[in-house]
Order: sequence, then C-alpha cells, then structure tokens
Amino acid sequence: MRAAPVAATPDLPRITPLLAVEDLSKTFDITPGLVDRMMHGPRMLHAVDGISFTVNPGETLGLVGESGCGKSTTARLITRLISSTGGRVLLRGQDVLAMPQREFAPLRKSMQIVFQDPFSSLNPRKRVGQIVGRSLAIHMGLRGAALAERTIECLVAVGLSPDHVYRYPHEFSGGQRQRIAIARALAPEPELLIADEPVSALDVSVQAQVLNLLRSLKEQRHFSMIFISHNLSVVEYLADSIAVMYAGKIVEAAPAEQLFAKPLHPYTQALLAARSEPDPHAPVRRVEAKGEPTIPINPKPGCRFASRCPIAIAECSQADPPLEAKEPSHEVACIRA
Amino acid sequence: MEVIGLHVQFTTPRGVINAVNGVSFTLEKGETLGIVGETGSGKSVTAFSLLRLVSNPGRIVGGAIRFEGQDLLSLSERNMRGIRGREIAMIFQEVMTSLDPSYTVGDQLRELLQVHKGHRGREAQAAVIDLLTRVRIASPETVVDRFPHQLSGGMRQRVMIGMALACEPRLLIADEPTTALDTTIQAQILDLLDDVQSELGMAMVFISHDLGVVTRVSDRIAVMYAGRFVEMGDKFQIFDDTLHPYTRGLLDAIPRSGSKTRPLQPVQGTVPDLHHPPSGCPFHPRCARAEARCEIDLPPFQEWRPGHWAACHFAGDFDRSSPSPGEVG
Repeated sequence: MRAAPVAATPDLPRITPLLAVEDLSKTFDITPGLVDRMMHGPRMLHAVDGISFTVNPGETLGLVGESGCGKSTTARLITRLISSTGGRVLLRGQDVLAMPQREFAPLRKSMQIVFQDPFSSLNPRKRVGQIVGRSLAIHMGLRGAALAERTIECLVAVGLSPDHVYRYPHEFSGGQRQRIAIARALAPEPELLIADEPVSALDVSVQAQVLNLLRSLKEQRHFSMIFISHNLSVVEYLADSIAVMYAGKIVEAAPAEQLFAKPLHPYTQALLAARSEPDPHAPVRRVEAKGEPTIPINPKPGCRFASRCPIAIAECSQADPPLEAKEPSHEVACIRA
Repeated sequence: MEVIGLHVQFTTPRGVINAVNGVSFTLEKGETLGIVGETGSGKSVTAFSLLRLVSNPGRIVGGAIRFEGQDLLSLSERNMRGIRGREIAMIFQEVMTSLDPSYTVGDQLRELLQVHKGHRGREAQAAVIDLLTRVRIASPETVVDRFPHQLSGGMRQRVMIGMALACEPRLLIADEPTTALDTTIQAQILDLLDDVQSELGMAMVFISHDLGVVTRVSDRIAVMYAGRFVEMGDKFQIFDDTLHPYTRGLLDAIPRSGSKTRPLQPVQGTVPDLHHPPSGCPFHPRCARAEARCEIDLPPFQEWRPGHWAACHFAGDFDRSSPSPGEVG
C-alpha cells in the first residue's frame, strides 16, 4: 500500500481521507469464443489495474486520461455499478466493495454520480420533479409537502425554476439536463460527488455555466469531488489534485499546480503539449508521443507507454515501473522521470 | 475562393429556417480560414455548401461561390463532380462517410487512384503504400489489407486525409475532423495537416466548435452565430482586439492554463431557435452590451479595421459589467 498524494499544504496536520482506493482492479474477459480460448488462451482486458489514490474531505481530485485508460470504469467500480476483480474502496475507513448489498445501499446517499451524456442519464418518462424527488424519497425519507418543497429547493440551487418540476427531460437543452442530473445527485447531500465527463457533450458557453455551477455548489456545500475528464484545461479549473491514467494504471499524481508546472511523466507532458489554446501567442508544441493509446489486453510486463514514449529505453519494457514519489507529494510511474 | 452572400435554407416540418444567412469571405492560395461556432451556428452547412453537397431538405437559395474565377453554383453537376475530390477535397468528423465498410482500405485507395490518376496494377499498389506513408501510418503493408472497422479512429482519419490528398487538391475543407479523437491523437492529426498543407501549398477551410483547435491551425478565423459571420479577422486580431461580444464571450468561457483563479464567464442564455430568430441582431438577447437599437437594426457585417470584420453596432466598444455566475441556460 503506497501513500497517495495529499492536497493539503505541507504544514497542515495529516487529514483522514474521505475515500481511499487501494489496489483497485477490474479485468474483463473478452475472449471471442471457445475455439479462440482453446487455441490462444483467454484474452483479458485489464481495464483498471491496481490503482490507489485518496480523496480528502472537501477536495476535488481530477482523474485525467484518454479513451480506454480506465477512468470511467474506476468511477463505476467505486459506486459499485460494476463489480471489481480486486482491491478495496474505503469510505471513511469501511471497505464498500466487501459489504453485502443490504449494508451498502444506505451508503449510496454519500456517493453520487453524474454522467457524461445528459440525454441518456435521465428517465425520459419521468417528470423532472419525480427524477429529483425519488432521490430525496429514498435517501432522505421525505414525503408529501416536505418532499415537494425540498425538490424545488434542489432545482433552484442549480439555477432552474420551480415550474420545471412538471416538465420532462426532452423539453430541456443539454446544459439544463446536466443541471437536473446535478440536482438529482446533490439532493441527498452526498459527501462525494463523482462527475464523469459532465461537460464534454456540451457547447462551450454552456460548459462554462455548468463548471461555474459545480464550483459554486462546492464552495457552499464542501463536498468532495472526483472530476473525470480528458480535457486538462477543464480539470485545471476545478481540481485540487490530479491523477493521470494510462492503460489502466495511474502514471502520475500530484497537486494540480505542481502537475501543470512540472509534469514528470512523458505521457502527462504529451497531454499538456497536445492542448490547443485559443491564444495565438502561445507557442504550438508538437506532440512527441507517437501512435495510438495502448489497450491493455493481456499486457506484458513493462511500461505500457513505452511503445509511444520519446525517451523509452530497453529497461522500460522489462518491468512495470512503480508509482513512486520523486518529489514531495508528486508520484510518477517512470524509471526515467 | 470567394464566397459572396451565401444563403442556405432548410425546410422543416415547423417551417423554413435560414441555416446560412448571408455569409461572405475570401480565401487566398495556401491560406487557412477557421470557422468556429457552436451547435446550430450553420458552420457545417456552410462547409457542405462549398462543394454543393447540401441536399434535401436543404437548399442553396442565394449567393455565389467562386473558385479560381469559376462560379461553382452555375456549373452542371457533371462538371462539379470533376472538381469534387480533385481540386477541392473534404474530410469529415464521421470518417465512415468516406470509407466503405465492406472493402479493405487498400482496395478503396487503389480504386481512388485508378479513377483519379490512372494508376494500374503494381504501380497503383506502390502509390497506395506511398500515400499511407505520407499520412504517417506505421506499417502500411499491413493496413492495406484491413477493413475500416479494424482501424482505430486516428488511423481512419489518416486514411481519409490520405484519400483527400490523393489528387493534390488546391483546397481542403475539413469539417470537425478531430472532434471525436483523443487529445494526443488530435494533436498528431493537426500536425499532419499542417505539414501536408505546407508541402502542397493547399488552402484549407477548417470548421470546429473548438476555438483552441481553430487557433492552432488557422491564419484567419471567422466566428459564426445563428447562420451569420459575426466576426472575421486574422487570429491575432480576433484574440488581441476582439470586436464582437459573442467572440469575447467564447474566449471568456474557455478554461485556459493558469485560469484557476479567474472565474469563467459564460455567455448567458442559449442559442436561438432559428424558426423564430430574434429581431435585429440575433445575438442581442444574450448580449451584455445590447441597447434598444440592437433589437431593431441588424448590424451590417463590415470592415472595422483593415482585414478585421464584425457585425455589431458597438464593435470593440464593450466592457463586461460585473459578471453573474451561471444562470438558467
């Protein structure tokens, strides 16, 4: 078990994390059929491969990576939407993955999730009031007038209006639907909000509205957040600390300012260089990483980024590089960092 | 290329909308014009119009599109076909518009080269490998025997670029070619387009909703809103001397490096329904600078500085008053 980055400044006492993920893994068997299995052995996709990190109370962790890195799978593992194949997820010290369903159910109140697609994450046959109200009824036991009143408060808190309770999701724009999804997620007053690419499907001006909303709600209510995105600039706006994922592993983890000021892993450097700024004065950097993101199927030992890495050497392909602190609070999985 | 007063209408069950409502611009040889806009701005329709690819329920109803002196809108379909793919090529966001899923990449490229350049047999095969190498596909000998679905998104995009460049067109129209790709792959493709453009001396019209990407590839940028250009200039003018409030809004709404301390200032409200466009300036309901006049008079798209155009009564003369956090939108 290794230490995970703490967002607090060095002179504050050590805080007990709200969430501690330890060695979490999820492997999918994607062998096409019986004959393939007999002839070539099973094909296993190591979607999430032994990752560890912590989230402190009130902190926002940005989980960053491109498609196939395992960040969305991680979100689903933490909330038990899919089952894990290894590791622990400790919520206030208790392993939520090991609990029986009955014991876990009330904890859903504490960990809520907002998804990327505002069009498929809301039940089209329910009115907005019912969608948000259901969460309140189940997790807070509210009924009748108290339920109705609290539902309206939740909608107003995300910038919608009371009469929206009667409408159906299809009557709203993408940005408004994300607000509804956020209202639903925050209704039971969770300690942890997981936002899986919440603004990626939205237009730029609407993205900004939703990001500002998340930021101000966080300031008011002090919940922790895991913000998942492939867009580093968006993550920079909200995150206190950042973990970069590649092919199922965390390759770098540090407080946000440190990561942007001094990225240590070649993949993080490539991600930063690949950003396109709307500033014509900013120098355009050519991306040094060649090829496509690695898909970790039956991975061989060695760094999974080696085949794309501009500074890879022979040793890189021999053993998995451990995730280690090369500087205070700054961990990297690279033997050349 | 010279586009003058382009008008494209779409007939929908709810009525007729002006998807492109009087767009004009020029493009010099070797130059890249980036057209940026959000959903419903009309940028993709504009792109398709340049190659007369707009079909039912859409129709080009007005304007002129001159390419090297020739008015494309007055050509016969037969002559237009001679231009498409040869002199003017196009690449799309959805790669499968160009690639047939039932044939291998090699077969499709060979056919293309045979038809357009008259290559035969082994010569065609060599030309195919050469093309794939030019778009930086590793191990092209393996890729020729693959079907499109067996390739990753980035590779398919490279194949599509290869196809578009096979005839060394003088103009490439790129409609959101990198939007669906991962960040590092997107950057690779943009670098590739940059190199290829310099090699061929090719002009490009690059369409995207991403102002960062557009800035990276373009010399000049046009900002589009509700079917019209609201601002156009070289990329430094757009950024350093922004004339239109919507452009300013887009710039302020994008999180940038080092922006953590500065709150994002989103553009309030939503894009208009083109069935019931606002009177006067289409942006006025969302504009912090709007006055009574903006509701009545449509501001003309005019040249406020050399080479820098805008459609606003108060071009450049606006100040964002105290921003309010995101509201109903």
